Amino acid sequence: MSHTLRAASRHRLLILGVGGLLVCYLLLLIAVGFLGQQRLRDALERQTHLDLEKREAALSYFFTERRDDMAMLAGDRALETFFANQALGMSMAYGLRASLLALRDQLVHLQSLKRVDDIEAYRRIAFYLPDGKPMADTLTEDVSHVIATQPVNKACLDSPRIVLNRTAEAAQIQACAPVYYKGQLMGMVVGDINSEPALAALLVDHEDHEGTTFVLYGPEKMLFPLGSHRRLAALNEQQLRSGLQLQVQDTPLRLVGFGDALPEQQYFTSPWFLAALFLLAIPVSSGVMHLLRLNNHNLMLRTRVEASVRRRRALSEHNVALQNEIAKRKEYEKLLAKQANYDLLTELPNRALALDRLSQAIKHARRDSQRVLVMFADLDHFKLVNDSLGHAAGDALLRQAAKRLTSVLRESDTVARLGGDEFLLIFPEVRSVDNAETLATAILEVLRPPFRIRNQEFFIGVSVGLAMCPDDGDTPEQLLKNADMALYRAKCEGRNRFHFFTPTMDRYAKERLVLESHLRHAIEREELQVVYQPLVDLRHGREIIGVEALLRWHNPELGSVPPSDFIPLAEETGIIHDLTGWVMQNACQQAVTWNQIRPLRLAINVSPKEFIFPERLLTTLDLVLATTELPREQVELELTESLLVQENPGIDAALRRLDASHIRLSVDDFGTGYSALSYLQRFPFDTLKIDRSFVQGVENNPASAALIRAIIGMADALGLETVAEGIETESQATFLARHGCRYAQGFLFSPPLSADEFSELLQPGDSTPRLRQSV
Amino acid sequence: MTGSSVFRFVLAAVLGVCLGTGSAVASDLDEVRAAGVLRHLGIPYANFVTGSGDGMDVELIQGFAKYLGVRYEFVPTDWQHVFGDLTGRHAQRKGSGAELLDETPIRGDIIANGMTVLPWRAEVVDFSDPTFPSGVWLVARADSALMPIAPGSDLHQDIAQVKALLPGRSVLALPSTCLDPGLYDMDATGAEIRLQPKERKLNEMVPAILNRDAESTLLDVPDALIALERWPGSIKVIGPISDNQVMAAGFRKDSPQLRAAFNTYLAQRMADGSYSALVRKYYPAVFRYYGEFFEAARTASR
Repeated sequence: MSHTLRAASRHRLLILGVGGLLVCYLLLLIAVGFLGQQRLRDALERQTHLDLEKREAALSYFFTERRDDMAMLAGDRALETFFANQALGMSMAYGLRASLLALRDQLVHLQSLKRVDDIEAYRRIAFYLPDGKPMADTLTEDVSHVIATQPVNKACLDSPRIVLNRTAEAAQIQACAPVYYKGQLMGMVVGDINSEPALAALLVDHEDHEGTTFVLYGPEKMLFPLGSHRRLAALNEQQLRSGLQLQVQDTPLRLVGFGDALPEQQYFTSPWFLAALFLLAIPVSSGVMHLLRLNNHNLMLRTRVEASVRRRRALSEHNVALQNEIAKRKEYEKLLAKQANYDLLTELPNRALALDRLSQAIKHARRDSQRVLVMFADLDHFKLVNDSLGHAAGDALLRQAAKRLTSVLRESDTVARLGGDEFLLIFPEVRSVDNAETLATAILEVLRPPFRIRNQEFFIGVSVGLAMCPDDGDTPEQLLKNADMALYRAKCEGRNRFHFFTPTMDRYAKERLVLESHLRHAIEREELQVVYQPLVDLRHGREIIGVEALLRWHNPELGSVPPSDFIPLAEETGIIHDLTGWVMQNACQQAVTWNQIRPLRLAINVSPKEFIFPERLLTTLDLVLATTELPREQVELELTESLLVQENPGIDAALRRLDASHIRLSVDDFGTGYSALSYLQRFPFDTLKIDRSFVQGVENNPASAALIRAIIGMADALGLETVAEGIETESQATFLARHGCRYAQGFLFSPPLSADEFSELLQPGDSTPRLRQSV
Repeated sequence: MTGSSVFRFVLAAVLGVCLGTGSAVASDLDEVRAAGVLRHLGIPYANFVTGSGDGMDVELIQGFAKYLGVRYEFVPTDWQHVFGDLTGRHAQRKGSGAELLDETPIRGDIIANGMTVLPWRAEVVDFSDPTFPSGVWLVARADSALMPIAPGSDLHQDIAQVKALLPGRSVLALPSTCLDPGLYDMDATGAEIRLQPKERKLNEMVPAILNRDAESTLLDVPDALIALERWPGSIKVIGPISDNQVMAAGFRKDSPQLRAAFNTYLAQRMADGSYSALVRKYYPAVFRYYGEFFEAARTASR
């Protein structure tokens, strides 16, 4: 409301302001009009004066030119020739007449030449003798009979000038000049100015014929007007007397100008115009008053309309905001629903949705007496891609794999991503085991072709575990657990294959669980023990030059658990790190003790799993060596070939660091792994340990013998030492020694011994007999 | 008939054929038209035939050739050969009459170079209607003791006054031309006549007296008028030597049709004013001086 009042007040002020301005404007117009009238009169007078001056200058210039014409003519060659011939006494009949005719021709030529706006400046030009007798005249062709038509002005004999020659009828303006020949006055040339037409052409401005009227005066009276006779006639006596006048320079003529006064009606500030201006003030004032009244009347109406408009606008803005909010919420809900049920990376259903669908499928199967097949799939070597190429490449691989898996499903089937590289596939309506096998094979096949990521090709296999409802369980959890177990078995069996769940799997899994729980407490319960198997030099009397530390576990409930059972479990569960550290600590400490008797090489087995995070291994080793103060050169780490086939730059760097810090490196069980011999060049190994399987066949199996020879030859060529493992007979030892294998270990020399037993074996001067005894 | 007689006969026959053919090539109007060319014999003289390819008579005869519808050809000649070139036989003045001399090949059909009509010439050729007024004056150097006569009312008396001044005075003259002293009985005046070489031109007479070759000279009026304008104060006209004369174009006596055609052409040009314009172009002073002559000719033509 206050806004409307302010607006109304503003309108009133505006109307009053405009009205005031209009009145001021009218008053200003009247005042300016009066002043303008005065200035106009002054300006007209000045204009007349300027016009007069301009015309006078033009006239003066014109007459000066005419005077010069006559002066030049007086010295013309034609005149000179005439006087020369006359002076020679030539008669008019014989020769002189020709000269006079030539002179007349010259006069005619000059007359036709001098023009003002195409009007001849002269009416006549003549040559007179000093006594006034005309000799040649442009008006008379025959020079023999030139008749004097007018008296000449004797003043012309003095100097070139403009004269006024009066006759009874009229006054003639003339330009004239005296003529001399050899210093003697011979006559005069006189040009009658073609006054009226030529001067009018000179003075009257045709575009401004309504301007000043000019009149040319002689010394006494008016000669002729230059301009409109009608307008001259309209001038009264007083006006004629009051005309502005100027003497035309070097002539006996005066130029008089009469300015043309404007009629009163033409003035901008005529009384009528002023009256009209005053009268105009009345409607203007009335209009202002009317507008003020209207403004007041409309005030209420405008207030209501404005309020209504404001409300409507606010409502409309509110509605728009509301609609936006609803749309946003819907979008958000949609997104939440998707996030809740789908995996954002692959856009496959997630675990929650998958379990829900599995529940539904189980229900349907139960009702229709059908089977549901559950597959648990895990991509082989996915971690390798993720670690070596980065997570972006891993994500790309997962998306491609999801796409391929989706492509082999029926509409009723479901594939879901449970996390990482694990996929769950649900197939309702599966009739038989054969049918399940077909489906599993299809899954393996679809992932068999190489994946292409960042212009690199990768072969990614898949391991699949299968469980059927109701055979292997009738709840989603049970089916998933069993499928997971089947998957584990598939992986254990070498990956890239599928395996059905069997009840024995369940039992095995339970046993593993028990084993794991015991193993986790093995160190603290002091159930572990390190035993040492000597390493002998076959060349030098089988002297003990080193020892391999081996781990043993004796549990009160389980009894002695072989390493082949608990080491894989420890690797799988991560307990291996603690075990390795424990072995290193104990073995190194023991080696330091033995150093007082004899320094020995200490070989410690290291699991490939330790090299997943090699930093931890290196730190542990450094710490142990620092605390025990065992020289680094005595330590040898034994690695299996399986570690070396992994494409992990971290492994390479770790091995080089170990080598640089003088830790010896050996390849354990050489010949049983992947045997990509190129790694022998790549990695800084010191020793090859020939696997016991080759050694045991050396007596009966020529192939084993040949392989051993080859391995020894190759090691020699590469500058590596060889250690034969598992030597049990003398003939094996002899064979190996004969073929260049320097070091050996095995039951032939000694079984693994406790620290104390081994200490005894090392007693100085006693070692060899004891070894023999132990055989 | 001997061998040499036969040779002479053949030569005569060949010459006869050639001469016959020569006169048959251009005798009268028909022949000129048949030949398709009008041959204009002209002696370079003042502004009549300037020698530079133009001149009043050159333009006049070019107009005539165009009028006839034939090609114009200029044939230069001189005062000694001009009649022979036209008629086929040389001629010269003998006393008051003419003497015919050797034959010569005809080279032209019309003479036009400001040739003064003289009685002896009229015996050799036929003249057209007058084309130009003329006369012969005695012109002296300004410093000469000869004083211009005070003219009387009669031309013959004026001539007598001039001749009376001449005893012992040197006067230049040019034979075979209108300044031939024999034409005006100059020998009887007691003047010392100094004949100029034949190759001298008429317009070289004034420079000759200014060069003090003689005190005075005979001079035709057109040349005198030009000289007065060119050397004002250096020469003076003493008075007339001859009667009034006229100039005209010359034709063979056996070319009456050609001559008649020329007269018709001339009258036509006089009547339409183009002849006056031609004269004014080349002789403005003469046109002014003899205004009556040209006005009368124009009126007569109309």
